[in-house]
Amino acid sequence: MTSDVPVTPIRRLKAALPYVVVLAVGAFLYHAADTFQFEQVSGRIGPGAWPKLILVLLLVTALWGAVSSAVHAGKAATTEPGGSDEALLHPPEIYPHLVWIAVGVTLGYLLLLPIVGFFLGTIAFVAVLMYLGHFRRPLPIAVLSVATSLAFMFVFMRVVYVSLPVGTAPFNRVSFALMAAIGVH
Amino acid sequence: MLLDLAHGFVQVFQPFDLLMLVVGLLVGMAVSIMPGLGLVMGVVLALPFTYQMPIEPSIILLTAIYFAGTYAGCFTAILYRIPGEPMDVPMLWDGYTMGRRGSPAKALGWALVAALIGGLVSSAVMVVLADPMSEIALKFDSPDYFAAVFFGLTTVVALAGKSMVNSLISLCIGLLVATVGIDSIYGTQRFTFGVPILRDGVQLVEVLVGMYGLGEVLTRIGQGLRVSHAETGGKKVTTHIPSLRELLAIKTTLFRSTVLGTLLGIVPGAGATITAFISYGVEKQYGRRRHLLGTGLPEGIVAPQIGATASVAGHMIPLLTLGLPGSGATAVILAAFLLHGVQPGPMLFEEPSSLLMVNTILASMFASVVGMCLLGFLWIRVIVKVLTIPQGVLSAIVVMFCLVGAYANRNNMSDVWMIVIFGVLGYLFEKFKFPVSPMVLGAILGPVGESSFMRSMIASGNDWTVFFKGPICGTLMAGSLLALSYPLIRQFLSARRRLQPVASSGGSP
Repeated sequence: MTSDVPVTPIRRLKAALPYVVVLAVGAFLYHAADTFQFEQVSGRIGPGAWPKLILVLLLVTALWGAVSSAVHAGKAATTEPGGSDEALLHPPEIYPHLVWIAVGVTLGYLLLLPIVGFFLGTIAFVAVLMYLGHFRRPLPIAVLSVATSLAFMFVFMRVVYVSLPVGTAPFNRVSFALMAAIGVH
Repeated sequence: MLLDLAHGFVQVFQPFDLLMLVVGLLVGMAVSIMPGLGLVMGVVLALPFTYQMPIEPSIILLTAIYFAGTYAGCFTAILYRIPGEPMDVPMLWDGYTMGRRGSPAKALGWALVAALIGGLVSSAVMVVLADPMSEIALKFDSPDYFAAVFFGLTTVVALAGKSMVNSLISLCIGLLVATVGIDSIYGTQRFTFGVPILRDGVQLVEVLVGMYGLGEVLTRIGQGLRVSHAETGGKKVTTHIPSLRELLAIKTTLFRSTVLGTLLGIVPGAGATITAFISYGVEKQYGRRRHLLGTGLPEGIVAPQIGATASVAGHMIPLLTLGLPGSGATAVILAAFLLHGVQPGPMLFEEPSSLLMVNTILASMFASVVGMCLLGFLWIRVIVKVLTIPQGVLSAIVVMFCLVGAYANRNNMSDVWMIVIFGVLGYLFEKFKFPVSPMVLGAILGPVGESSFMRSMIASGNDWTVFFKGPICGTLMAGSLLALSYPLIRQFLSARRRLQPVASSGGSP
């Protein structure tokens, strides 16, 4: 069963936008592939041949996608039997802003990691992630974030022998103290 | 062959290998029960722990997660109507219905027997086929290899998602990701844009962990990370194995689904989910009691469960004999092989040192099937408790595994930054309905595809018809064209089916 909704140019553009982005990136990469520096051997295809082949396929497909999604923008998705099962598996996105906050927090964590060290940075990061994931009980968050940070430090530094960032002074003192406590030298 | 397999079994029961098998089964069961995790993410998250291990226990761990991941999702689907994975959806129709009618233990018993039969029979078939397949693979030259990769990728595109355009775009992006870095033939820098970390190319771990791990968590955060805990209490969690008489009553279903699951497993792209749905669909089309399917019949539980579990062995054999992964999980297992410096392919079956490894992996498939059924039977009560872990806590831990796991590969922060980039890309793929698996398989098979393409073109003097001339490559290319036209045929047939009732109702007064 399908149902149609009024189609505005904005709706068409929105539907075609992902494909337009792919088209733009594809065109840029094709230009880049055209300018690869290499020593030409007569009768042989160059290092740009394979990427260009893929890019042509990408550009043609994205163009097709852009046109067809703009044309069919008004058509609602077909309702198929088992739709409720589909909803169980793929619920709609209701908090898109939380995703970008989570990405921002992750980037901040990666920037701060070399300064504050793994242990302290991870406590804060895990606590914020739990909060973003709708787990909002302060005491369990505090306990679990410290426990998670310690557990990761122990497993990866003591068992898997990974050298996790210790941070710079004065934060590295905490890292060194903990490393000594768990027997990592 | 049996003696070699026996040696493999001896190896599997070495303490560390056995420990990894049990850990793999428990992890596989836990991740497949939790909505939003899934078996591929389980395999991805376990990958960093294999860096320091010998190759055999690494592959045993990942294979055990893969097998167990196709089975345990039925627990929560049958008991609580919570499908841990898309492949568990058919289990809602008959499994949950049977449970609601007062026989959840029986429904779980049917699923257990189905997983056991499907897993063991398909593993046995694949062990028998492994040698002949490796013999054929030894005859492959460059155009044949390119055709095999092309066939694999086209079937993945044809089967991956609802939109073939999106699948193709996803595949192209994956193939392009594989071209980043220094080209192996000319030594030219491609798409590096002066960024030093891109010179080494994009690491497989970054693509896999970013797209399947972080990307999935970001998607779940956007969806609110909710699981209906209200429905998960107060159910009696036991398993009641069906009698031999009951089994014989559905022997045709058992046979049909096992054959179907095993055969579909070999087809790249036809993962456990597609196999489960097709097995259920075939039962609905040809089953003796097809008109009653959906009302809580054992056939409706057995068919998808056999299909899902049988497909695993089917996927493992092309991976071992040709080095071609056909699913997300086998792509990760291939990455584990490559991280250990081993290239799967026919040569594994030729050298005595690697032959023991292959037989250990094959033996571990049988041990995984039996082990997961035993664990499922004995510990089901404990295993379903993972549903009570708050999703916010679980997601935070998964993100940590993704980031630290990527860092652990080379002790390099650049890898972690790349994970975040691929995580965001994975989220955008989900958001705009681009399937992830073609991209990942494109990134993994891209280098093999490119090198065989370039070698063939150089050897043939740029004659592109070389890919259609040989018997092996010609057949595979024909198969690829068939695979690419499959969505069109499917669309045509469903349009015709939709028109038929209209035409017949229009004709009647």
